[in-house]
Amino acid sequence: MLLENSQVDTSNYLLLGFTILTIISAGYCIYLFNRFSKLKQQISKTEKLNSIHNKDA
Amino acid sequence: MLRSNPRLKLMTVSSLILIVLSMYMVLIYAPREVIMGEIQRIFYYHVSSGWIAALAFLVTLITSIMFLATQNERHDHIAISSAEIGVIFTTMNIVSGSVWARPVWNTWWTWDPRLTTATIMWLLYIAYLFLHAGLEDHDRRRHITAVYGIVAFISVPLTFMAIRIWRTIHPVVIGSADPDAEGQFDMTARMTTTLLFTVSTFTVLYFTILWHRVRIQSLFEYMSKLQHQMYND
Repeated sequence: MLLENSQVDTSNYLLLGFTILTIISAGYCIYLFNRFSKLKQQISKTEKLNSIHNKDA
Repeated sequence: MLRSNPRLKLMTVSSLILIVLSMYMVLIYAPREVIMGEIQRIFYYHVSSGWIAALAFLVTLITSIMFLATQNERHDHIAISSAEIGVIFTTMNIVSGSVWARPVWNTWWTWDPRLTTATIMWLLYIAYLFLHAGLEDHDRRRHITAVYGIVAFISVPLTFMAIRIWRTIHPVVIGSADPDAEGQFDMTARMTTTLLFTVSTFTVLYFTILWHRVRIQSLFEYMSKLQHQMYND
């Protein structure tokens, strides 16, 4: 093991790890939020179009 | 359309509070490991994300079986949602393991049995997501992905057992480790408490995300039906 019997400072790796984990988890949360918002917009548009279409028919 | 759910809001707030508390436990409450130093603290999130990945894929397996038995599309929504969350947590598990391995094993990556089986599992479930997104016929898609979700689960116990079946340098948290394991350490009472707390936090977080994700899937299916209805009228 690289660290055996040594006092190497590994806090930089911890910081790197936490940064990557934060990016992945935050990125996924943003992706879910955007998808939810876009779907709600698309649904309201499609529902409006559908009601116009039904009236015309 | 979906309405806001107070129970889901409560779970979301609880998850956020638990995450903050778990960060306190990991960074301050848990003692510094003597040999590995600060990097050992990533272990709590590494193990927790691995546990959630396995749980998520187990939920995909169960709901895939339930879908084939009942044909209830709600089970398909849970299966795809859980598989997606499982892929995210597997990514977190692999990445955190790689960052830990650099100072401890002196390499970012090695084709150790555990790392290899985890990568195969990750790729199998990414393929599941592509398969679910790629097939246009809804009914056919649900059936094919349900069968795939059942078969792909073989990779989960294989990944869990890899460090117990084959010679490996990967440490074992529960049970006896291979003599060649690098980075093995004895857990103190505070370390065990921190690990149990982060695992519990991630479990609550998983169910919260799953609930949100299933709602999104239901919206997506509703929109697809609306579009289908409009084009067919």
